[in-house]
Amino acid sequence: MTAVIEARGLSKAFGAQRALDGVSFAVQPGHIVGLIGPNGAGKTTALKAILGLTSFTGDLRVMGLDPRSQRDELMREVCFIADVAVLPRWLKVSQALDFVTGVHPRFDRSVAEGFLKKTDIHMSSRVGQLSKGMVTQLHLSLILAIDARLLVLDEPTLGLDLLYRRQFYDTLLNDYFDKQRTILITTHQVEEVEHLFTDIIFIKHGHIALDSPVEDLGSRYQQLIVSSEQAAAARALGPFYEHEVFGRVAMFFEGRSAAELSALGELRTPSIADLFVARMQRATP
Amino acid sequence: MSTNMTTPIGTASLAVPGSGVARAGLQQTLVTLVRREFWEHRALWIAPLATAVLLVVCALFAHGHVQIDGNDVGDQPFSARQALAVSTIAQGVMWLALNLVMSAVVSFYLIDCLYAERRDRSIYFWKSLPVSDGLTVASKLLVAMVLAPLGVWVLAAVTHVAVSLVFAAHSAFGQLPAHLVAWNTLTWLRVELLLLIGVILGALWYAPITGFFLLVSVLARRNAVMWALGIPIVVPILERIVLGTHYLWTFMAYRVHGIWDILANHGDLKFLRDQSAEGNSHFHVQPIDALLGELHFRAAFLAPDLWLGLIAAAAMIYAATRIRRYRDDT
Repeated sequence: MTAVIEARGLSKAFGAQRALDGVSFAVQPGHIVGLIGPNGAGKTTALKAILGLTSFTGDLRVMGLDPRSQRDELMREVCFIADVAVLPRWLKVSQALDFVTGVHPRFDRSVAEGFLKKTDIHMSSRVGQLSKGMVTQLHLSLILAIDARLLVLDEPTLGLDLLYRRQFYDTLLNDYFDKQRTILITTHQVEEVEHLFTDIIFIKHGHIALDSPVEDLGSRYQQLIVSSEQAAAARALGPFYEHEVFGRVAMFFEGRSAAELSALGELRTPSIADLFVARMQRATP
Repeated sequence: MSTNMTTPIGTASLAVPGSGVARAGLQQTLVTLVRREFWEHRALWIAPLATAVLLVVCALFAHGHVQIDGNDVGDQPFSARQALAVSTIAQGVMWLALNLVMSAVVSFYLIDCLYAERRDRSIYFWKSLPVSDGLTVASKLLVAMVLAPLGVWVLAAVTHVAVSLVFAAHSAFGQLPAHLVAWNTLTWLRVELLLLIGVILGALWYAPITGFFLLVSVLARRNAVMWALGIPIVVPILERIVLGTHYLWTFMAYRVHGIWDILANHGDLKFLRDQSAEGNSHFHVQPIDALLGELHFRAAFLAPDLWLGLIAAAAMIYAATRIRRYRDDT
């Protein structure tokens, strides 16, 4: 199976600051990949490179196309929401439907109208009259009605309240996602979406800090809770991160066997959020 | 709908071609892009339309007397030729008035069209759809150089017919001397043809200004209007202060009126000579549609400066397209 996105040595610098520093990764079809990192880590730059919105050095193929020279073809296969609230204020809902119908051969208007019927959005409203949550709902209704093979979402729920966020991800999973499609999502709100991803990529200071299928995380990473008496013994096994929890110490290990760890304390599978914190706190590899 | 949404809509719509999935050809895309321009920049059609309505309303409430050379022409007989000349002048003036409004609106439209989408960040929405930068810029050129001038030409013609009808009605009700009202369809058509050639010539001659505004629009980080209007004002002033010359000012003035000088053979037309030979003592009017046979259309359309301007315009438009493609404002 050929990768939907294949990046090798992807680099981009803004002046002296390196937003991406030789990043390599691959996204396989039918996966939901979370590109996770703190603000300014290079997530958005990576997405913009994938979408042909910015220049870069290195090798990048998206659906077998070069986003730099073949962007127009690429946009027939790829859909994206680069940010919330980018729909222009003057646009009427009906005009938005007319527009996408007119320019996108793979847009199914009836699907978009079906999504909109489930909301409080009126056809005659202008975007400027809608709440931020409704604008996102409208944008999502438009984008999810496009039969694209790759969907890219950059912080899609930023600034939305919990209700809209939950709705957003439910729609994405239940009404949209299938094995024909691939979804790439960037976020820095890890807790909420960790059950969503099939793969995660942590990015930090322009480098990949972790790249793994979610199902492999349990066998690769261990979280050990030890009492302070056992801490020194556990520390000898080389945790990559530790922090104190109610007088005990939580340590994170990579590639240790369960047998040698469980002798020292309580062994857990770390959540993605825990791993994220552990990985981001550690010095840049 | 919500029940069958769990089935992969993608495979379904791929398997059955045209099942509700719109097929957007190049032409449909361009039509949609143009519609979008008129949705966003409503002044493009509202301003000329409002001006036209205003002109008709003015005609409705028009009263008083027409004076020429201090003589009240309502009192003395007005020849049919003179009445027709007045009507024809009105035809041209209405077109000119609507064109001035249109030029102002189109200028602001051009300055805004590639700037507003970055200011409100809607460019991320437009760019998420399969529309190339070339096609996007083409749609804006189509609006500014073809649809707006042609639309205003049609609107001016309709307005003149409407105003003529209003005056005919005034005359029928005795509010206007009948000999002031004249209509000649052939003359009207010839003047319309003359104005249409003017529309085409104007669109071509002013193409460098169009290109310049687009370039400013795509480059400006803020205050696009200030840059677009400020550069042509400040740079010639600087030239005057620093170098003491005024080449730029002369050049810019030439780029405004040059083509009309060429068209009118720099004022050396039989039409104008006859007009001045008749002097002011007698009110004789040459049929204005005679201009159609006298103006130097060939010289105007073949003027090297027209074509140099078009090359410069093409370069600026190409640059604007490339910059829109690669511009990254993060």
